Amino acid sequence: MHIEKIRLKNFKSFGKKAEIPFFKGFTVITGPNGSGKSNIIDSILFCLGLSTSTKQLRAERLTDLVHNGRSEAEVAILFSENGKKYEIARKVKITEKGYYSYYYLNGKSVSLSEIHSFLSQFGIYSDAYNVVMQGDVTRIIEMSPFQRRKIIDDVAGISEFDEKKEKALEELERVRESIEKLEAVIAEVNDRLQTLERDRNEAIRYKEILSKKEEYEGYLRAHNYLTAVKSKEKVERELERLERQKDELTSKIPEINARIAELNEKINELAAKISELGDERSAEIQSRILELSSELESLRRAERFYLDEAKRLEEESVKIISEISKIKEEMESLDGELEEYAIKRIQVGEIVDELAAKMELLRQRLEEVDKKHRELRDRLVSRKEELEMYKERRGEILRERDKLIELLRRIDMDVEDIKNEIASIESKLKEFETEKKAKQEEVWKQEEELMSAKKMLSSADKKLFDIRAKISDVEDELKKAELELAKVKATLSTLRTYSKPVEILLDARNRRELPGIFGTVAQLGEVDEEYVAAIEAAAGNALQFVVVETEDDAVSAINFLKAVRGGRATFIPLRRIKSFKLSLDKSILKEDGVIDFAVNLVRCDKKFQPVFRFILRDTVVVDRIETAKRLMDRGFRFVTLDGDIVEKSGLMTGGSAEKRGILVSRELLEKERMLSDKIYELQREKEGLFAELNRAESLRKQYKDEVDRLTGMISELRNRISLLDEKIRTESGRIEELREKISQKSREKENYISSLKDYNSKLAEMEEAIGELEAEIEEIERMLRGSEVPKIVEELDKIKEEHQRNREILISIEKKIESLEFKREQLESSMQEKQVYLDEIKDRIDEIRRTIEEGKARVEEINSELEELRKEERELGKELKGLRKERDELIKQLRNAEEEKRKIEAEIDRLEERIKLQKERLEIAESEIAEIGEVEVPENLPPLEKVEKVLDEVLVELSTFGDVNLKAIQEYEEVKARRDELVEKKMVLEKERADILDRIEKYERMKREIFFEVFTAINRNFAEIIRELANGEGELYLDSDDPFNSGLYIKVKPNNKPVQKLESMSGGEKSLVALALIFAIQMYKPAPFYAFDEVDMFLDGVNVGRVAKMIKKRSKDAQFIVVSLRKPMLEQADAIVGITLGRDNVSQVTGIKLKT
Amino acid sequence: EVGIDAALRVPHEESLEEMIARVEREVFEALRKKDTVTLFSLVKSWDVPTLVDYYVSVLHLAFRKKVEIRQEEFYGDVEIQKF
Repeated sequence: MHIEKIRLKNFKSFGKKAEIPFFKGFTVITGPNGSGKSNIIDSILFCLGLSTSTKQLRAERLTDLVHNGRSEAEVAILFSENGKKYEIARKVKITEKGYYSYYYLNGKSVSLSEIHSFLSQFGIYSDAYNVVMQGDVTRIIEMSPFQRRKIIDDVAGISEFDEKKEKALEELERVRESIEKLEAVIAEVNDRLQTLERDRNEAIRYKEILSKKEEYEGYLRAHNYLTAVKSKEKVERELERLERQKDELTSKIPEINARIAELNEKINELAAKISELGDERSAEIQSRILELSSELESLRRAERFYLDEAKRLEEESVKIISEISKIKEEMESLDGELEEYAIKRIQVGEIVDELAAKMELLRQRLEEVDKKHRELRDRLVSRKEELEMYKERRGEILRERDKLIELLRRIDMDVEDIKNEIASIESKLKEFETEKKAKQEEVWKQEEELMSAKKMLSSADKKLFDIRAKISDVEDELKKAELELAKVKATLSTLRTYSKPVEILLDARNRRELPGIFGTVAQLGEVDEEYVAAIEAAAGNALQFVVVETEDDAVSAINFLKAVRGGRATFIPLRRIKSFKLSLDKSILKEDGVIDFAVNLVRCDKKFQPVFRFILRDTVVVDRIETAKRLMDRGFRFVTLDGDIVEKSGLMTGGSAEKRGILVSRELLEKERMLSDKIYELQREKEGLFAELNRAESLRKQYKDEVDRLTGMISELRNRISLLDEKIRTESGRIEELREKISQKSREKENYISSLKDYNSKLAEMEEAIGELEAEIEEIERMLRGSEVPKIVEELDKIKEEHQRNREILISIEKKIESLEFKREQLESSMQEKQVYLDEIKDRIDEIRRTIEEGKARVEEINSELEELRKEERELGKELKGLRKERDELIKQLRNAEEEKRKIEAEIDRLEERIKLQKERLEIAESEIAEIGEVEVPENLPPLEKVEKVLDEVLVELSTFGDVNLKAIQEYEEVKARRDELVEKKMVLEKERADILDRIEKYERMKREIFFEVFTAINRNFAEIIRELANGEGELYLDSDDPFNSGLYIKVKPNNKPVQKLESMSGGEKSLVALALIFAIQMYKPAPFYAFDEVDMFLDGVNVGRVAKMIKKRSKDAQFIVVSLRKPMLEQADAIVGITLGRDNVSQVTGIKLKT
Repeated sequence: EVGIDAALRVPHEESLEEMIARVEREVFEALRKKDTVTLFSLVKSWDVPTLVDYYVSVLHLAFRKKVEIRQEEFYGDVEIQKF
């Protein structure tokens, strides 16, 4: 296959159309740079959708391929293969929105991949260096050894294995996930299976047990059958034994009657005594205890109160004592001061005496010195002495007056203090009064409350007594009813003709456990005495049927019987037969001897009529068996008054009249039911009364507590009031005393004021006399002037003055002493006062103590009385208990006696009845046998105990089963199958996984094998090409055992030169080696044509020639289209295609053939 | 070492320009006598290197807008005219 022709239209520099035919061999394309040579190579790449590692016609660049100004370009390549032609074409079209491009194979639009697959048939691949650009050569030189190795990878298609491996890994992951999921599901299913296995085993066991149960129930029925047969035999034996017993019993009755009468009398006596003791005396004791307790409580409160008061008083006395000791201290200090002043007084007195002596001396001298002025002097002296005297007296008066004023001031102060004290006491009094008033009011209020509480208490007491009386009434009545019921039951037991299950049901109904049971058929109807035998016979066993309201009631009764293992009974659900209709042919009633239809002879509640209709149907009652015989063809069932029966079928039953049975006991049963009801009611009433009693007792306790509380509170309040009274009294007395003191002080004050007035008038007189004397002395002194006298006089005056001053000091000292003494006196009196108050407090404390003691004594008294009362109460209780016990004992005896009597009577009756009843029993036994049905007694029938034991075990085991999942057996098998299926699936997956792992390994291996195959081949080719091109040796080698981790190195030894590595070669050499590698690859993967674009650019001329020769040689096997400017290359070509630019700068193509 | 300059230099070393000038002279000599000359008529000693030289030179002359060329039949003779 080779390119025969390339047709270009508007492709790059080729305007309009250009057609380039090619020869099969070696064609060189040449032309000046820029003429568009390389565009031809581009057109091949474009048209075939090929790319090289350095040249790729990127999509966005496609529009650049269209010749300037045109809207579409097209390249078509015509291939020829052994005379067959193929055409591949590609168009690119520019539109407003962008561009699009199409491929055509033989005129048909195809996809790129179709083009590729077409080309690959002929060995044309991008990666096989079909089209080689100069860039490719350079790249091979410049790339790293590792990248270079990848060329081999690509050629060998290693990536295909990698992809496969990748896919296999993905698959492996998927399989692993599936396995994990499956394992989880299997684990879950296994869990489920385990659970199911348990359930299945349980279900299997359950089934086994059920079948065992069925088997043993069969055995049980057989036993029942045997028992019934045996009991029938027993009944027959029983008859004769009964007669013997009857006579023995009859003789015992009179003795028992006497005993009963005696017991009754005793019981009545005891009852009277109990009522006396219990009710009257105990009420007295109760109320006395109540009274005493409340007094006790108030005494306790009073004691507490007084103790508090005593404590308070003691505290106060302590306070006063400390005050007294303080006063004493003060007095001591005053005494010290007094002593000090006494000493001072003596000292000053001495000075005064000394000065007086000096004065005397001076006077004598004056007398001597001046005789001539004696008279004058004498007068002066006498006047001066007079003046002195006046002055002294005036001083005395002033002092006295000052003293008075001081006293007055002191009195005022004292009065003020006393007034303050009175005011404070008065305010205290007022407080006391207010408190007293409040307490008083509270007392009144509490007393009122107490009164009402007491009233409530007494009414509660009354109510308690009432309830107790009622309870005792009810109890009596209850006892009576129970006694009666026992009698009735005993009587009934002798007449009892119901089967055991029916009795159980009736008991249950009486206990209200089974609602919806009306009673047996017999209980619901009433028949005149004369028809009893007839109706009983007509109804037969049906009289024992139990009438219930609905089917559900029957079901619950049946379940009840099952639960208690009570046996079997028949039920008539009223609702079911309510609409049962009878059409009676009344014509029979006209016949002689016919009485009525049986159903018409039964009186009953309208509601129960259907029951009797249902049972008796059209049975006709006639007088005698003969009548029945006569009418028996009329198609009725007849019963005679004697109870003989003629069935419709002609079957006749009859004989001697049997003792009345079920129907007769109806009255007793009625009574029994009534008594049961009554007892039930009475018990409820009694319970109600007890509840009421409890309530009343708790209420009474509440009231009693209230009374106690109020009594205590009132007495406490009263204590407080009396204490307040006492305080008020004391404080009022104190006010009186203080007031008296004030008036006394006022009197004193008046006295002082009048003497003060006297002093004032005296003082005025003195002042006047002094004034006159001083004037006179001045006159005398004037006359005496010039003599020595005045000097002496002056000295004398000086000394006198000093004397006077010292005397005044002395006086002031004395005054101070006086005042101190006064103060001391006052302290003493205050101390005495406090002492008195202290004594009073002590007396008061003593009094309180006495009161407390008295209270305690009283408490003791009360306690002892209380103890006695309680003791009495206890004894009374004990006595009562004894009496009650005695009474109960007697009642019990009475009951026993009555019971005994009744038993005997009943026994006699029973015996009488039995003889005839036995026959009926016989019938019942037979009917039971019939009911059980034909039972084939198995040969190896296990003993009854074993049967029952096994059945019990079976039932116990059955009861241990909850909800048995019977489906589990089936389900287990299904789940197991599913589990097995899953496990198998898992195994398949495991195998698949192993396969994938194998496959991955295989890919790895193959990859390596193929790599080495390719590598070896290319290496061989390379060596060959180097030998040819460089006349040397060349080798490709790897640097690692693992090819995929290794670089590809090139080693060349040119002729007569040392070995060279690619890295160390010159540019031209490198190009040559790279080209050699490309040739080696091409040789490994031969293609039908190759295109080279200026691969010879960097080769020197010699090498270009060599390469050209090599191409020429190889062009025998493949077509070569080579773009080159190099002459040696051109010269080797078979044809040259020349490109230049024509007129419109459009590439122009021409060609010349070099070979013919 | 590798580059455009080097690439362009190589053909020059083979004295392409010299040859083009010689062929140009010959072409224009011939075109003085008639309007059109053919490539084959220019090649006197018919060997491959000479033919290649003439052909390449004519391509250059055409590229340089000195002449116009036309080939009636691909791989046939090339007609050369003045531009």
